[in-house]
Parts: sequence; structure tokens; C-alpha cells
Amino acid sequence: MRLTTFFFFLISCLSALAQTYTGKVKGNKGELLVGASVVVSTEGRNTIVYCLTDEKGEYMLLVPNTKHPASVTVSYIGYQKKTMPFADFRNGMTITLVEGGFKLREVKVKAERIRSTGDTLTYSVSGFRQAQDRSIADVISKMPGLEVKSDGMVEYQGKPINKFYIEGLDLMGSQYGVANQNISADKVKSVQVLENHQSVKSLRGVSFSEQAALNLVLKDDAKAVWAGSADIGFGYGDDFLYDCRLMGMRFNKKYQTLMMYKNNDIGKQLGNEVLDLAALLKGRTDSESGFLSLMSVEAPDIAENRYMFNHSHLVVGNWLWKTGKDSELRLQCNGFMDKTDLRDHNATTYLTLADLPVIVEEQDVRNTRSEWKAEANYQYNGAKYFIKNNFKGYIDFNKSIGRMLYDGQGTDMMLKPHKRSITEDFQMSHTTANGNVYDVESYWTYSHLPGQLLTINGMTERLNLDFFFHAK
Amino acid sequence: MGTAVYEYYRQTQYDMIYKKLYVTFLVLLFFSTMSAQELSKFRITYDCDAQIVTGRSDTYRWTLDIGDTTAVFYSKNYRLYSAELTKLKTGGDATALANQLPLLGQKYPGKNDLQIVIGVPGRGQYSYYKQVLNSNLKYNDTIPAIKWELTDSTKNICEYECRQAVGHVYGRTWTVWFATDLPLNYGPYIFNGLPGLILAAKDSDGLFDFKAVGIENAPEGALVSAYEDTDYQKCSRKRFLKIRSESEGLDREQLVDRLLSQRSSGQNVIVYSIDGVEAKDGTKVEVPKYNHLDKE
Repeated sequence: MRLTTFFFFLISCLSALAQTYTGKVKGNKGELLVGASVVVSTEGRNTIVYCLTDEKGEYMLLVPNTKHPASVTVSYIGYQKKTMPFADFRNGMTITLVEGGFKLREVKVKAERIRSTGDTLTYSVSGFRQAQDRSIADVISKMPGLEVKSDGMVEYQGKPINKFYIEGLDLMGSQYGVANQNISADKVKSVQVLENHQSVKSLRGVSFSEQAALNLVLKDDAKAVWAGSADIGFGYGDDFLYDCRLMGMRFNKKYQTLMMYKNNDIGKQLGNEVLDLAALLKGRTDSESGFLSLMSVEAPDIAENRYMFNHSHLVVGNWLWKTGKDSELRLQCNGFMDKTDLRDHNATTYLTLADLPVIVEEQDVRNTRSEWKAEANYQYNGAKYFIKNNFKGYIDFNKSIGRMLYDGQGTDMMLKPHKRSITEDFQMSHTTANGNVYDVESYWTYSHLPGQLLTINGMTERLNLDFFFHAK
Repeated sequence: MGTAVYEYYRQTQYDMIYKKLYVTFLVLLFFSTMSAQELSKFRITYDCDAQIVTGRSDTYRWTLDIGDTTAVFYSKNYRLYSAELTKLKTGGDATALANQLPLLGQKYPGKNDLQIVIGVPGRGQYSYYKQVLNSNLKYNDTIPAIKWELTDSTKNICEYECRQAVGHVYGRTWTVWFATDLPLNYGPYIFNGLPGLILAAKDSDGLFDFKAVGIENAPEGALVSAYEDTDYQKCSRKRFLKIRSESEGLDREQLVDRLLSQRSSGQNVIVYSIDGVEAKDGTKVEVPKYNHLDKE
């Protein structure tokens, strides 16, 4: 009798701790729901116990009473979720769910870091950008397959790109360094690489290009609005320091512009930004150099900004108008002014000669550069015809002035390697219906190099060079 | 998971008749497996930061296509890559292929050849597809029953409220987050058995970190199926693990010998390392010990 009481007590104790619930989950048409979830939770919606229905649509739950079960939730994809108070939950209960009412709350996948469609690779900027990246060039240099060289040239798979587009328009021409190094990475949504890009429409499918082009796709909020930015930095070291940039740009469908003024005296080279990145020029650079060049001294093997004493100013303006469906006019001009001081001290000791132990050679040079470039480009790029006329001019007022001290003897130095040039590049091609291409090209450049050199005895020697180059 | 360190290229010269037979066989197989495939309803995309080689973290993008009774977990970029590679191989020029390989690899980053079909061949089972060196292997096994321990932590992932659970699968301890509003008994890899879709999973060694980045209705006509199912050789899970462990920690010489020894008569095998350098020199370890999702 005692024993029975004990067992009875034990069983009631156990059942007080946990109770088993079994039953079925069905749909409203009587179908068994396999894999439906049955969840018992507390009032605070924490899960106490759950199970998934087996292949017969049956559930089995061992619910510990001690955890204060409050509700039972039954759900199955494509059916309406059913929640009931735990008090209504009975062992052996068949729970019926009503079909429908489920609509997936979609979360669209964001662009993968690189996407490809046909010949176009799209690199998402957010996928590659790191906190320290400012300009789009910083991000481009992280993208696999793309490389930004120290002079600003962009290479794809080891080959220089042939066009640098912004929103599909060629605003920058060959001087894309300005855009690449100054457009902020947070204005750009993605960078597209157009593989094997033939920029001349009428030659597509006729003449194959091995080079790729780059296109910056801007974020929606950076399109068709004036965007200006001013970065101003001052400091005081041995000298008053400055590093400033003023920029204004607008990228419309029919009109694009990018204007900038930049200066610094902290050893940053600005001249690089307006280099003609040669790959775009079919190897024709107006590079006739005279016999004279600015003076230089041997540069130490450390980063340039550690030893450069410069005062640099750069003014850049680029404008592009889309004059028709296939035609566009581009104007570009830029000026670069720079003052750089060079100092060189050289002491040579000749150990073999007793009375000539040390020869000291000192040079003190100031290089002043003032270089101005302007370019006008008209292009018609139609399905059958391609016409391009590019007219550009260059003028500089560069000079080196300095003094050399050789073993106590002073000599003045002056050098003006001036250069002026104008270039016209004309291209026209016509592709006939059967794929024949007729091509007319004319290229001429006239350079005038009125150099001046101060020689011994204070005489100034003039050296004028004239070049005329013509290619058809 | 494991990245192919070596890409290989086979040139097989079949007899014409043999080829025809082969094609017929393929077609037959294709039709017989067709019936088992269902349309997928939902497409979940996961990004996984993984150190397949310890210390080198990469991001892999995974897709989980869910149908009524089955689901498939795969890397979309691998499928695209593989399709393009097949096209290149039919071109037939071995040198051109060797040059193209690195570029092709770059075009499809974060790819992985692992595929898992859940619910195939039957309920409660899964099919596992993986390359080991140059062999395509597959096995079927029972889906492991995971004893999940639920905690009270919650977190929002992809705008879904998720709850935390901890469980052990094949020798690793995983902390996962599942969304109770999505009553789908699936997750990345072979995770299952929770009253909601698993949207994030992280292992205790910090080697794998899955996170959902997309929850969408599947595109129309997408089938829940393995890619190039017929190219895989069947074995048991035990055998697969053995082959896999034997293929790791090889140096270059051993690897090349192994690849060469596997050819059958009538095949020319040319081994190129992925960077295009000649394969048969140096004794550096070429196939390291990889970290796999399953440890045992």
C-alpha cells in the first residue's frame, strides 16, 4: 500500500515536471504537413521546446511545466501561422493550418563584388572600398585585374586602358588622371571594365581591340547635380604649409564638366595628374624635346614628398557637350605652375693628392615651371561614319635659375627651355555595308622651342628650334 | 570546401562509336534524373567569410534554392565558371586554355565546387558533390540529426528577427541564428532541424562565418538540382573522407605524380599550376591541409 502510494506520488511528480504532447498537423484540405514546426514559448516569447512534424505529419513534444509555457505556435511555409494559448493545447490534438496568406518579405541580394555580363565586368565600389580610400583611384587599385601605375595610368590585365568614361561619356580624353585621382569614391557606384573595347562604333565587329575601357557609374545622387568640394589644409613646420583643393563638377546626360584648382607645398606632385597618358594617343605624343631641359640634381632614394621643396598650383577645366545623338564636343584646358628649389652639396676627397684633399661642389637651383595646355575635340561617332578632329596647343615658361659654387668659385646659371606647340589630329573613317573600311587620317604638329642658356662670361645664348611633323 | 590549386586539362580521344554510345547514355541518365527534380520556390543567398587555408580569409557566395521537399546549396559563380571552362575546353588548345585559366578564375571570384542536395535521394538524406584534386566525387548519406540548444538571444538579420541556437555537426560546434517567420527547415551547408530558416552560422574556431545577404522568390523555372550530376563518381562518405585526407599535405612532386597516375589509357593529361608556371619542379607543399565544413 505504501509502495503504491510512493509510485503514485513519483508519477504525479514526474508528470508535474514534464508532459508529453502528441498529435498531428494538417492543412485545411486534410493534407498532412510534413516538417511543420510546433513551438512552445514563454510569455516573453522565448522558446521552451519545439519540434518538426515527421513524415506522418505527427508532432511529439515533452513540455516541462516548470518553465511556464504560455503559447503554442504552429507554422508551415505557405500556410497561415497559428498561435494559441498553451492552456488550450491538449494531448492528441490535431492542429489545422489554413493555406495561403504567406508572402515572402524579400531582401534583394546586393551586387556581388564583381559581376559580369558579356564583355562587361562590373566591380561594385562598396565591395572593395576600405575606410582609408578617398579617390576612386584608391579603390580601382584594389580591384583584381586593374592596376593604377605611379604616373596614374590604369592597366587592365597588364594592358593600358584605351578610354576612361564617366557615365559613358569621354570627358577626360587622355588626361583621365585628374578624374581618377580626384573624384571621390563615395560618388561612384561601380566601375565597369569594357573588355576588348572598340570606341569607334562603325569599326565594331570589323576591327578588334585588345584593350579595355573603363567606365565610372555614378551613384544616383551624384548625377545631374552640381557637386562641389573644398579641401583646405594648412600647417606650420619649418615653413608655412598648405595643401588645398577646390572642385566643382556636374555630370548630366548631355553636358559634363569637371573643374578644379589644387595647390600644395608639401611635396606632392601635381603635374602627374594632367599627363597625357600615352596609350590613348596611338603612340603620338608631342614630345619633341629640345637640347635643353630643366636642371636637376641626383634624387635620393626615398619618397619624393620627404625631400621636395615645392610650391605647386594646378588649374584644370574640362567641358563636354553632347551636340547630337552621336556627336560631342570637348574642351579641356589646364595650367600647372610650380616652383621647386634644389640644393646639392657634394664634397669629394682625393686621398692621393696631398694638397688637394677636398673639393666642395654646391648647387643652388630654383626651377620654375609654368605650363599651359588647351585642347578642343569634336567627334562624330555614328554607325557608319567616324569623324574626329582634335586641336591642341601647349605653351610653357619654364626656367631654371641658380648658382653653382665649385671649390670656392661661383658661377651663375640660367636656363629657359621654352616650348610652344600646336597639333591637329584628324581622323575619318567610313564602313560600308559589306564591311570595307575607308580611312583618312591626318596628323600634324608644329613645335617652336626658343631656348635660352646663360653661358660663361654672362652671355646669354639663344637656341631656337622649330619642328614640323606631318603624318597622313 | 577547398580551392582547386591545380587546374587540369584532359584530351580524350574517343572512338566515334564510343562517343555516340556515351552521348546516348548521358541523355538516358538525364531523363531518368529529371523526374526527381522540382522547381525551386525560394532563393537564399549567403556570404561566407571562410579560412579554407588557415590565416587566409576569403568571401564565398552561396545560393540555397528551396523547393517543396528538396533544396540545393551551391556556388553560382562556380556554375558560371564551370560552364565557361567547358566551352574553353572544347576549343581544344591546351596552351590557350592555360593562359585563360587565371583570367577566368578572376572573373568568378568566391567560387567553390561544393554542392549539396538536401532531400535527395529520399527524405532525410542528402547528396554531397565535391572535387578532390581532379576527381569529381559524390556520396549520399543520412542528414545528421542535430541536437540544437536554444538560447534566449535574438538578433535581426536581413530585417528578420532571428533566435540563437547552438549545435554540433561533424566535429564542429556551430552558433546559428534562425528566423521563426520563415518556417523552412533549412540553412547553409546541411544545417536543419530548427523551426525556422537559418540565416547566419558561425563555427567555434572562427573559420567559417555564413550570413544571409538575400532572401528572394526563386527565378522562374529554376530547378533544385545538382550541376553536371553525371560527371561525378559515386562513393561512400567514409571513402570520400579517406580520399580527401590523402589528397592533402602533398608537395608538388607528389601531386603531379598523383594526377598523372590517375589517367586512364588513351588520355593525355597536362598539368598546369594555376599561375601558369611549369608544374614539375620545387618541393614546396602544394596542397595544404584545408579546413572543411565537416571535420569528421
